[in-house]
Amino acid sequence: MSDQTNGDPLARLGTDAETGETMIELQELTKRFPGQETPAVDRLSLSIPKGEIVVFVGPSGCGKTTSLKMINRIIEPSSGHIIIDGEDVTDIDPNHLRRRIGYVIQQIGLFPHIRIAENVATVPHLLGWDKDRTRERVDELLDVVGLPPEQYRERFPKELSGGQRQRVGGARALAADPPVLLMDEPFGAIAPITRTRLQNEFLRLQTELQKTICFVTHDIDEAIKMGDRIAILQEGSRVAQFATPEEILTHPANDFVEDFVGTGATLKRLKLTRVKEVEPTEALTGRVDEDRETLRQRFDASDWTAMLLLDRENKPLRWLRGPDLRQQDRPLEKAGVRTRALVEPQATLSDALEEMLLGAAGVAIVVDRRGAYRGLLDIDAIITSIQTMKDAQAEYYRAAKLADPEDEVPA
Amino acid sequence: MSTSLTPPDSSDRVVPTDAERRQTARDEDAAGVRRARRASLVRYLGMPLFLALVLLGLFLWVGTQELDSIEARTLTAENLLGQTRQHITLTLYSTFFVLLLAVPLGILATRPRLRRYAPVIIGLGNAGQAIPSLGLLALLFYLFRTQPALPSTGPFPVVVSLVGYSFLPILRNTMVGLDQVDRFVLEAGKGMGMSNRKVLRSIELPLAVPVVLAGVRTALVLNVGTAALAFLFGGGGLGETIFAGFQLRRTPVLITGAILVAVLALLVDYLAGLIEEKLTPKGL
Amino acid sequence: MTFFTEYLADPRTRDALFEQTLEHIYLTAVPVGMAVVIGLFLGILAHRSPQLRSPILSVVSTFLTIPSLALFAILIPIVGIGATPAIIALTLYALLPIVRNTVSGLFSVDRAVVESAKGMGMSATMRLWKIELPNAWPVMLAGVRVATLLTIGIAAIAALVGGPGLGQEIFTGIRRIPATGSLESLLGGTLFIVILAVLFDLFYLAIGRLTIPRGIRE
Repeated sequence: MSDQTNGDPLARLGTDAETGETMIELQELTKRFPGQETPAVDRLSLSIPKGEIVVFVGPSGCGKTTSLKMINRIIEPSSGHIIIDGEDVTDIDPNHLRRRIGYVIQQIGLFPHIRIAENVATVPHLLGWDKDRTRERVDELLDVVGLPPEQYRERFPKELSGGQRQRVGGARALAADPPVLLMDEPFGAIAPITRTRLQNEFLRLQTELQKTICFVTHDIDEAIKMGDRIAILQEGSRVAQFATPEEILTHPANDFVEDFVGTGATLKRLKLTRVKEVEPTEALTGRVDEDRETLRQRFDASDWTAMLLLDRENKPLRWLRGPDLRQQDRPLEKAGVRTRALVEPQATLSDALEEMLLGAAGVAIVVDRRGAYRGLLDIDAIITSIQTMKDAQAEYYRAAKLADPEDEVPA
Repeated sequence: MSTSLTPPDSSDRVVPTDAERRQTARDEDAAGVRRARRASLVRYLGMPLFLALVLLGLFLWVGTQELDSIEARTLTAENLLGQTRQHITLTLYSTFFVLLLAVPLGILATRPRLRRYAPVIIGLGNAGQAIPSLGLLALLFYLFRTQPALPSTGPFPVVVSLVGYSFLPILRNTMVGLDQVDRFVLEAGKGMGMSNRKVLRSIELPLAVPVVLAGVRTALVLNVGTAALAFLFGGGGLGETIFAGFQLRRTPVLITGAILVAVLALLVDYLAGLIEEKLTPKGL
Repeated sequence: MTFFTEYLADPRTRDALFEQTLEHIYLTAVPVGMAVVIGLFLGILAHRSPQLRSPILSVVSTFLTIPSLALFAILIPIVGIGATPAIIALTLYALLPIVRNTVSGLFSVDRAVVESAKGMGMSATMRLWKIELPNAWPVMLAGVRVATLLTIGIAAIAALVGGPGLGQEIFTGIRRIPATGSLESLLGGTLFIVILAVLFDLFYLAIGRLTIPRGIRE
């Protein structure tokens, strides 16, 4: 199956064009479980580029999790080789190998008997870091995953919500700053709303950390959202297609991929574009510390039907209409309607669209990670971006056709 | 960020990896079935064979001993068979009566109307574990022995004491067992819209069978052990031989009594286990 | 009833009961201590190896089926009369609750927890001591508690074949039934054993408070 990928001009464009460096190389990796006729993973070969998120996705039982767990040898391969950063790790001490690879699983597996700080410090302890360095690192990481250390350091896992636990799970995996991260359905057991947030935060984090990440999911939408590159796996972990999400959506390698990606490919493409990639429009804003009369004048002078009220830190507070500004009886903070549909730059257009539909306002407010107002995103902007995508694709197709030697007309 | 994956110097040494690595589990098909059949043979015949060997060994060992007159007088077939019969009789009687009392009471006490008292009884049963068997038996015996209205000799006070001793544990086990059944039944029966009586007849009673059978086994094992103390209260049984051996400093007598008691207890447990297994409705 | 006015008021009785109580504590603590060490080992073994699990559990539960008087007696010709046969026999009896709870405690540890420990590079030994045993500890401690209660009760029977402890007082009473004074001895021995059982229970409650981490407490 891998020759399909190799013969595919689009895949080739994707694989070698951007970075030359490979972080993880799987060579003919095979796992046979005793008592089973067919191997669970059958000669899987894959190169995972440095600093990218590669998602293994496929139907249940296709061997994606087994493949992932062979990389840190939680499951020992029956044959084949794992090469990480140029070093063959197939036969080295698995415990030392694992201390260099972050590992996040769906069930999280926090140690219930020790505190959050000790949980995060697990690998630093194993690596023999001194106390100060460990504590500093733990606090830094808790901060990074959005759990204020002074508040969460001393808690026990059972005192945290599911989403918070998965944040700790992430912090624990990152503790010793491993170059490689393995994630097995990390957001699978998390409630949908929290999941979207965690996904966005994770992507934001990754732009800073630049880890090489293997990510397993059964959800093609999550794969499209999270992956720099997706490996669609068939039974026996055979690679049906290994390419960027764009390529998979626009040019599925075969019927299996097409079926697996399913209908609604256009909608799925919305997951490919981040809110930050679309120019937000400006809204009519007013700040809560401004005079009501000033606001009213500004409102009347504009052709807007509503004004966005911001607090002193520029966080969106309320939508105000004309009457709200004219009536004196209510403080501004209580007037109008509460703002909804806030999206972060890291969210996909699909997330934004969903927020818009939920919020019923037809617009989403873009906020930065601190929650401060950045701009507005409306349905028109999304429709425009779909159109642009389509044009770009057409362009892409033409380029691909030209690049394909088989289609080339001999001069 | 270090990207090298070679082991750095580390505080703990780790076991060689190969054992962990190419670990292959055993074959699960034909060999597994053969092993299962062998295992069930061992389970059914292992214990009786073992006990028979122990008895044979005891017989041969006592045969090689030069028995003095005291030993010879104690270790007669008549003596030992009589005590064995007494021991079994005490066990069966006390088991019968304790089941007759504790099981119906356990069923009654787990009915919805009386259920709120259940924790109290179970708690009492748990607390009762703190009372030593020897002390409780003796106190019960004393109670019956000193009641002028009741027969003070013969097996009666001994059986009553044994029943009194095993009553709480059996009651407690019955209630805990039924409680588990009920929880299951409540969901299943209500889910299917059965009437209360129908639930009781077609689900609850069959499900209670294993609970009662487990009670039979527990009571038998408990009583066969406690019956070894019956000699203290004039009830006879094989404890008599053990005690005689101890008091007279006669090892062959001591060992014979001890081994017979142990073999009898293991045999009773084994037989009760067989009965339990055979009578438990399939699929439970 | 002369239990408090005469029996317990007599300094000789009090001294005797006090000494027997100490003996009884010894007769409980030593076997339970040994059973913890052996039972921990057997429990870990039974958890690790599916092949050894059922043999270990059935042998250990067979011990408990053998009536105590018989087991005490069998050991006398081998190790002599006194505390030794009682200690050995009581150790064997205490094994079942400890082994069984060690096995079920280890099985109760969330597999994801163990896998994540493995995934972070803990060796098998470290996983056992730092992750599995601490999380199995509440269940294991409950097993030790049951084993202790069991041992306290059975230890009384050791007195019938020359063992020490509060069983001696009960035995004295039994031999005098129905003479006067016999009830006092029966009550005295039994009551002190019950008190001892309650004290041990409180001891375990305290141990639980001190050793079970807050994160896994009920």
